[in-house]
Amino acid sequence: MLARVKSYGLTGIAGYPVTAEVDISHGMSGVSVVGLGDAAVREAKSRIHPAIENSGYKFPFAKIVVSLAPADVKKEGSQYDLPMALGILSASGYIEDGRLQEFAVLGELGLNGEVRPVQGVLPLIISAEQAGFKRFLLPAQNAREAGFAEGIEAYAVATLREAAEFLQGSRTLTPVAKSTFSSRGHAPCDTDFKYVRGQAAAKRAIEIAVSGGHNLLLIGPPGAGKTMLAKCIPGIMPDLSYREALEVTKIHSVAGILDGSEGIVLSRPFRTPHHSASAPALTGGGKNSRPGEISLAHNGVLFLDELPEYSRHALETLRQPLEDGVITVARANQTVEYPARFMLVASMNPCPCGNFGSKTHACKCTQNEMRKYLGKLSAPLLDRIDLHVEADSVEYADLHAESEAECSLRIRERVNRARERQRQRYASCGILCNDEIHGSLLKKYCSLGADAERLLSRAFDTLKLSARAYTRILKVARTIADMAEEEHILPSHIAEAVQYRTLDRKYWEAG
Amino acid sequence: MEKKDNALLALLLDSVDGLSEKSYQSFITSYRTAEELIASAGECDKIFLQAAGKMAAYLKLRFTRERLNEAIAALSDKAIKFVAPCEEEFPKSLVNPNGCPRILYYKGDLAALSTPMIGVVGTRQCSSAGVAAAAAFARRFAESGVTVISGMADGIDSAAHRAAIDAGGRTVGVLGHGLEHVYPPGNFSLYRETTATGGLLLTEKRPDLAPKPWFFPERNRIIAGLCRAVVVIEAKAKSGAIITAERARDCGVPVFVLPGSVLSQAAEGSNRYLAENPGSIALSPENVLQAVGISAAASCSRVNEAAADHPEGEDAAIIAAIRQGFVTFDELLAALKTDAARLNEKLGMLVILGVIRKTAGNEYHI
Repeated sequence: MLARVKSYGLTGIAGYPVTAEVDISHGMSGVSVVGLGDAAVREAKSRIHPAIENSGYKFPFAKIVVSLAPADVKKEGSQYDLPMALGILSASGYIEDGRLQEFAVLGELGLNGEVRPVQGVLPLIISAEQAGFKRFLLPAQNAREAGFAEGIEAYAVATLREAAEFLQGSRTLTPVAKSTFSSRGHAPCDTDFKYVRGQAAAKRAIEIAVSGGHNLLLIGPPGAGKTMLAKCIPGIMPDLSYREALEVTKIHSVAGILDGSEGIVLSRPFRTPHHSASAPALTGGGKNSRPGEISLAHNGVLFLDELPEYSRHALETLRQPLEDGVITVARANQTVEYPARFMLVASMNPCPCGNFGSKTHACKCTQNEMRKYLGKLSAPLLDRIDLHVEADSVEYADLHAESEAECSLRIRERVNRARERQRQRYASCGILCNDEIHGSLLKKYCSLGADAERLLSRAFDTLKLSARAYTRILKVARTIADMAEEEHILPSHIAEAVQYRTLDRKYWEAG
Repeated sequence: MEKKDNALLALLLDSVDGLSEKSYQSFITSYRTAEELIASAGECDKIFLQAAGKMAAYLKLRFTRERLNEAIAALSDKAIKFVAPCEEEFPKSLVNPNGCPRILYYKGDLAALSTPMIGVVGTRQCSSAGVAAAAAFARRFAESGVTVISGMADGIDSAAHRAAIDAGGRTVGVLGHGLEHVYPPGNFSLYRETTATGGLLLTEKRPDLAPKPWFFPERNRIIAGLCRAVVVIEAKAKSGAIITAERARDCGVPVFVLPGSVLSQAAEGSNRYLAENPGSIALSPENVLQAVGISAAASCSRVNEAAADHPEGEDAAIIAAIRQGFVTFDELLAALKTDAARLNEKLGMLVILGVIRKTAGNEYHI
């Protein structure tokens, strides 16, 4: 007897149809699974046998061949358990073939016959829907996630028996309810800007960066509170729109870090990989085709604490995604593309000992040590960071100041307003924030009046800015203008934007 | 460039290693031209044997026309020029019976030596305050038309050269090694900028000689001999900068020393020098310029905007606050009771106009 069950597989965050074909024939009893499955797929037969038996069906005592087609594409993961089991039940006559053909099936099996959640359900359903699949049979615990997909009918099952009875027609299930999205607002954040004393310049820079989605580098001595400042950022991140949330959810779902009870990502991600992270850990890929940290930070923040401590190789891999917003990972037999449009926030000391520029501690670094330290950051990478800001070392008196600083919630309201202005302005351009302005849009939206133009050219003279600073300054000035709710970029906005190009100014060479 | 034959003699003599001062002197007094020396060495005559002493066999093979032509070709290949003490262009202040360089190799414009020069020297392991001070002095000197001369080492020296170039002035770097080498290696671009901006790289070492520790104190006497005044920014206990200062004082060149923090090792040597010579304290660049009879540029080129000369309203308040010592962003914010955005914008404007400068540590200075 032959049975066929439709399922779906993933490469990157795009899906491709997989058919599980099951043939039961006379011969030596046993199950063989073919179709380039990984270990999880090959082990499926050991799960399926007890799952079928424990669900009250009889496992056929015959030669069973399971083939996952297309046969030449590697299959990964445990989502083929349920299709294979249903295929065996169908081939042994428990389920009618006709009804089974209407569904695409996903799910992992437990030995007791329960259906367990799998990774990547949302991206899988979305691409299956685009390919014409409309009805799905899914694990119950993926139901909320599936509810966010449009134009499909999904049925959630908790056990193999439930699935089999549903397909036999002896049990009715209601389709999964559509989930409704409401942004949680700010990301969970254990700290608030009101607890950060002083650091007015850094706070202002952070607000600008978040408002315009710009990349930011915090420079300061150890103990200045760079990390604390960065950790406050989730608290002021703007709301996540539904479209953005779906993009993020797809990636997090593939990576298996999605919270099943919510089914969708509710706030912007804030990722903090340690500086021992390897290049593949940042970019993604590897044997199991996982999205890397930069993709997990899509539509959110990637925070690299102690930037020069990262391996140079790992840092250089950031250059292309910083420019394009996607990362293309080439693997041995396929090329995977993950979205990676993130805001880079990095922190570093001004020199290896950290005291350069400090009023209270002497810097003991030699010029060579400084050069080596800074040499880890290539100019093209620094070039992609829009704002450089120094965090002052905090003095004891500041820590005991009576006044409490502005709280994150109020800053967040302003950020949301500035983002809203940008969203409206760029509605027709397919971009969301000032950081994404490029090419012709720069001319259109960042044009300067004569006064501002004169000031900028003066700034290049006085400060000896490099040519590459030009577009960065314009974009940042655009954001500052948006924050001030100004239609045009004024000289004062340019003046402030110029302040954030410290590293272009031979900062470390002569005071 | 056609060189006079007597200059070539200096080149030929310098092309051999290990010529003692005594035999050098006897060669330079016995012969007038390279031709004479080559002929005499070829014949191995009495004068040659007397001057060469025990080294006659060795020197006979080296004082040849081929050797001389090789040396000339090597120099022109690398665009290195030289000047001998017997020539007109050789700096007169270096001609003295003790320690006059046998020859000077250079790249760049020798005319830089005829401008007034002030040495700005100091330790390699300097503090950030030292770098800022070196830059401030060098910048002011350059603006007043003075050429800044220093030793092209890391730290204070580089900061001084760099600031002079950035201020649009000339600078002269006296090296402790041959011109084929770059030391410290990171200064390659500084070398290039020095010669590209009308400055000069100068050394008494043959182009192929790599830096050796004992070369550097030797070159300090050239710095001391060329400048009208020496400013020591920061010097450690055993610093070449103090050697320069002492050599300068011996030649009658005024020495100015910046007082440094008593807690800083970087200023130990300079502070000790000040304790021994209290009169040589450097209070400001103007103070140094005045002492050597150069009038400081009337108005600093950076501060020539109307806005800068007559700041109004908030700008005036900011400048006043900085003068009072509120230099970091947070201090200014507290002193002026304004908001961060407004202050940042005003500071940015003043920085662009060149009224104030932003330095490391988020500080602003006039």
